[in-house]
Amino acid sequence: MGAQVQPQGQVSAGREGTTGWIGQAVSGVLLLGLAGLHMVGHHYIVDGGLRDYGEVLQWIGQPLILFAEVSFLVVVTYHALAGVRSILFDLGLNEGQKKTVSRVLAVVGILTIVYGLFLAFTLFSRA
Amino acid sequence: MAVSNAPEGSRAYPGQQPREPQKRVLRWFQPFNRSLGTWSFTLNRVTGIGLVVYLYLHLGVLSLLLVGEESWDTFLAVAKSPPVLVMDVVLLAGLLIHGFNGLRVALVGSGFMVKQQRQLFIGMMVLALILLVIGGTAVFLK
Amino acid sequence: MTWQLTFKVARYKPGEPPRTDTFQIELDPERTILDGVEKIWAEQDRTLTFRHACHHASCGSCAIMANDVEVLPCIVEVNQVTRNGGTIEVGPLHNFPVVSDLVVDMGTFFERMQQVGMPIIGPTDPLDNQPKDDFHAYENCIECGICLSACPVVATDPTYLGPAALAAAYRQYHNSDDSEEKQRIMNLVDRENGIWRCHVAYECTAACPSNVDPAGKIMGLRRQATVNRVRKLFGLKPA
Repeated sequence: MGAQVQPQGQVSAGREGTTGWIGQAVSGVLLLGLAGLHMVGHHYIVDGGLRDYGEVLQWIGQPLILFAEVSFLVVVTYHALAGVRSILFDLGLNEGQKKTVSRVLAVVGILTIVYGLFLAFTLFSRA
Repeated sequence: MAVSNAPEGSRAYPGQQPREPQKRVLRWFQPFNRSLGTWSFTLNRVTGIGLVVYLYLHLGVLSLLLVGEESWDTFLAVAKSPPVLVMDVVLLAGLLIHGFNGLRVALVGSGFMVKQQRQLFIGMMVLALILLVIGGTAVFLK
Repeated sequence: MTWQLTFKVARYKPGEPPRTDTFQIELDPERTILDGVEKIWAEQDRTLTFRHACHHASCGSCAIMANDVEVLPCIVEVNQVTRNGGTIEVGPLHNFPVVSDLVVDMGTFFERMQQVGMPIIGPTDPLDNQPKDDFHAYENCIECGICLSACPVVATDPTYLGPAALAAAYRQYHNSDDSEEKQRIMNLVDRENGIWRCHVAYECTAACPSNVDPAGKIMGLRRQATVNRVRKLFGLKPA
């Protein structure tokens, strides 16, 4: 066995690993607050546990709530798709597959956020 | 380039990887005989996958708000039926387990409370259970 | 009093399909699982292949699965895993290629230990150069491979460096005074298939028969990598 053994397989840049993990941890901690607010605001302070159409508009019509809901949308989408990426990477993908997964998930994430923003601002404008 | 566990260039025992790594995915979901940490890992994975599926279902359903008042309020009648409320409690359980278990992963994975990771997991799950009982009861009382 | 035991042994020979063989043996309950395997080999089947050397948890060569748990069979008594008339299922470690029966290929394992600079056999250090007290735990690694078998991430990602090599990297990092060597080690582990691939299941630490605590060391390396990065932001050298 030679002394100079090459690393097994191609490896991703170190920064990507650190940023990915810290990003997932920070977004997760943020979600404890944002998801909590979303759940309480939509289900626990409303009679019947669900907001009807008018109540939804009343809720999202407040600028601070709109900001919180949009933040929730962005953070939850990032956290969810970064989680999917991490699970897929656990399958021992090769570098090409990793790039494809990252790009596809980035596109899915952008589309999700664009759709969510459209939804939130449309309802805000109706309020 | 993905590599197998076999030494590269090894000809001594070709093709003897018993199972391909992709087929070992089931190990993620078999915490039996394992330590509490693997239960934490499995729970996080199961709830995480479930919550991603739910996120997109939820975003899809919210499109009813764009359609208008009638379609949303019609949906609400279905959403308040007992079977859907039970699903709401399952969702709440998923959120609480993933949230608090994730907090343990974030803390321990960042180098905090490393020696107390087992106690931290138990504490987080107790906290999640208490909130689940309170939140789950409220789902049916509201 | 001897116990009547059934051993179900996972068998594999190159070119043949895997199978399970069943052996009935009599054994004192205080005897070890390895004693049982050796008895089968001695009295019933000389083609049974398994590794063993020291018989006292020092060499790490005999590690196998017993009733779906990683063990050093040389130190686990049969009464710890079954009862009189019971069954013990033995097989090779998970996550390694099987060479023959209970023997797995440890080649990649040792290559990775070398990559992080952990000599498998090294010169004896003078007493003054012995690792500091804090680092004794990593010297305990007996290179048995049990942590890799237990890890749920190694199960699916063969490119993951794995707990043993990362624990060794931690020891080498902190025991080295050479900044270039420290940087080399950090470059090797501070990447997606290094320390950041771990999902904090702590199964390696739970399974390790030698109290190396690989998961704790992985978390230590993460902290170190993060500290180094923050220091770099302020123009400081790695700690």
